[in-house]
Amino acid sequence: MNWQEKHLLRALRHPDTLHKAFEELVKAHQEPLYWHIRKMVALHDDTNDILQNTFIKAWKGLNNFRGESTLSTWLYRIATNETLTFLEQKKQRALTLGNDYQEELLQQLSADPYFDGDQLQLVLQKAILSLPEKQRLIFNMKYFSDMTYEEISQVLNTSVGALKASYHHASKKIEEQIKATIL
Amino acid sequence: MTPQKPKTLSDPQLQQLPYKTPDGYFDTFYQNLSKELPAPTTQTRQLRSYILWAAAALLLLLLSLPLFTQLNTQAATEEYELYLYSQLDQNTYYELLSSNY
Repeated sequence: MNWQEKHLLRALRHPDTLHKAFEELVKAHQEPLYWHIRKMVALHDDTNDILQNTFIKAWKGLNNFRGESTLSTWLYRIATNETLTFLEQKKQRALTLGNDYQEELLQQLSADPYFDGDQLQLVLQKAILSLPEKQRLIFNMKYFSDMTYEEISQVLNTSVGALKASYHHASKKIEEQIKATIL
Repeated sequence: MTPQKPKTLSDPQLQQLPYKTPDGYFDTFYQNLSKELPAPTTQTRQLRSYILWAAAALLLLLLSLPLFTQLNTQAATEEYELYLYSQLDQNTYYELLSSNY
């Protein structure tokens, strides 16, 4: 934890500076966390809900943050858990209605007004969305966010070796799907 | 004409996220979020401790009320007795004092 984070943490612990410091924390992390969630759930409205919940959870849990990790890692963990819980609930809801959430999501993605890609990028996103959640999470963090395996390991509490293997399998699957769609 | 090379993940075009956000989304995010934030835990704790102290004080007051009433009644009785004695002549007063009445 660098001195800026320590300073921010001290401000977060004091009732007089809490609101200002929390605003600073949100503004510093809202964008990376937004994209982290968006890559998992694809749709803007769902991302917005999860991001709000993430910061509300962080706000409520500020007193429990012991500084064992950086604030960024802590926020990423909350966002990841919130996203996985959201996806699980969506899957269950779709299942009770006899639908497939993955299929629903792929259809929604094509019609999403905030999707800004061409056909090839749509193919890639569809291939990513077809991966199991944990694998998708690892792939997105490595491929788009360019996080190191050590950073991902801290967020997901998974060994570097397992992450490397998972990323390798995910990349293979995606490349196969892209080739199969294009050729 | 050479056949088109199949795209791979190393293609920089694919590494761009094909998503966008509504205009000014990040500028207004905190403003919207702050409306949803509950009272901070530290303030909640402080408020809870004030409520606890107020409840304890009220309980103490309620418990001590019968005691105050009893003391007041006792004082009024004693005052009345003294008044009665003051209305008696000396002989009757000593007679009453020496008797077991």
